[in-house]
Amino acid sequence: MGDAAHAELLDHEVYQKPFKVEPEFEQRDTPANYRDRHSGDDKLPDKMKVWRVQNTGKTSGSVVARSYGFTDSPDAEVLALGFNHGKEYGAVGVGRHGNFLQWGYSAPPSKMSDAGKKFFVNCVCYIKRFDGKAPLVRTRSSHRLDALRLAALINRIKDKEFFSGSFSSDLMEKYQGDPNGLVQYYKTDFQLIYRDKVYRIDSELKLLGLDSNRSVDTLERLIGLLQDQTHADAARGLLTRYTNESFASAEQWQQWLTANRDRIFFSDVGGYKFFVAPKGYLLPESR
Amino acid sequence: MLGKHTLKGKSGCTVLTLCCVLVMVFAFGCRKKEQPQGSGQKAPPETTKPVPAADRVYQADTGEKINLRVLYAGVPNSERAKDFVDFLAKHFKEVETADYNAFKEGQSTDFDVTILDYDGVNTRAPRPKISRDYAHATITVGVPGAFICGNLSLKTGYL
Repeated sequence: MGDAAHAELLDHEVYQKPFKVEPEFEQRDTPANYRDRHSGDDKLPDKMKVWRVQNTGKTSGSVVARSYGFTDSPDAEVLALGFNHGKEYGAVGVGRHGNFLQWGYSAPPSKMSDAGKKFFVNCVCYIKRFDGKAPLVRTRSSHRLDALRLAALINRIKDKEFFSGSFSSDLMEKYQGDPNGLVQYYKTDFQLIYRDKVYRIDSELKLLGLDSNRSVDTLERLIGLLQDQTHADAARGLLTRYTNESFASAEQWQQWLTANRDRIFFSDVGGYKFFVAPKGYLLPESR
Repeated sequence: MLGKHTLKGKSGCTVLTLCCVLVMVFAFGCRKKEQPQGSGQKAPPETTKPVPAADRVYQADTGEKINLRVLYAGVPNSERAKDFVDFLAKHFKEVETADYNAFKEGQSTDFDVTILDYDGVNTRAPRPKISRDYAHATITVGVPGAFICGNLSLKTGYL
């Protein structure tokens, strides 16, 4: 990443107080890497609106974090998208995870722009609010979007070992020379992707007629199926796969769900599991 | 330590100001507000809403320094550390420094926010040992910061 941030997100409160951050905008050519890594069906514009956070004159030296799954848990948020020439559009130049705020820009204050200086001061004030709020999840896995990104590369990267942690040998054989086919395979059942050594589609959920592994409704359905002799074993296995809980009875599962429903979230990055945010952890005004 | 460089606000002035305010409150504050007779209007009750502690920091627009204690852990005697500390001291009431290379998480205890900064760019910068129980509000900076986050398996880590 170089000196700039994208203009999105400026309505976040971290740009409003104590200082109003009022950047000067520029239009920059959309980096080629954005197009290479773009998995959406929409077309990226030729130019993008950015603002300078610092003035080192370099196009690298600062750092972004990957965007995939960054916000799949309520303890993390993006504060600035970093304009970069190495990763995807949306990669995180300034972001928060729990009590940590990562300022991805490299320069000391004397080389920050006026807007950058104000933004930095605001970040110091903002992160204070998260004192005592350690992250709820840690990075244990890669997000399901990575399955699509990597599938698109199977022709470009010749070392097949590179994909051994991503795709089963059966799939690699089936889609040999056909990255689009492999991408489509994962796109079709995107909501059912999970990781068990490699990216898999959850055929067991599919057999039960459930179309997502990350919806709280699915959790509710699985708990309901514990009462059904025909599907109870499958449901129990899936609850083990997708939670860190191990209740003995259906009633206990139901009590757990009822008590925590409003605070349950699913995180791919956290290991393709449902988690419960502790009471009082979430600050409503921060989201 | 980076020469334990403390820059505190003008506490003497603050005490003096408080005394003046108290005198004014005793002198004028207990007078009942006069209401226009026959207006039929009642003055709204004078409720005071306590300002949550977390919001008090947002009073910098008045030109006062922001009421936060900031610990800057950087590279001792470096231009960069001086750059940061001078800047922070302009904005925050209390700024202290610590040695990034010898940083221990317990040093954050007495501060509102800790800033961990090496040089912004070095992929081989040392990484302070921080446990997963550490929950102090902290800013990590640049490439070394991303590696610290990576060590802690944070989403803000370098991948």
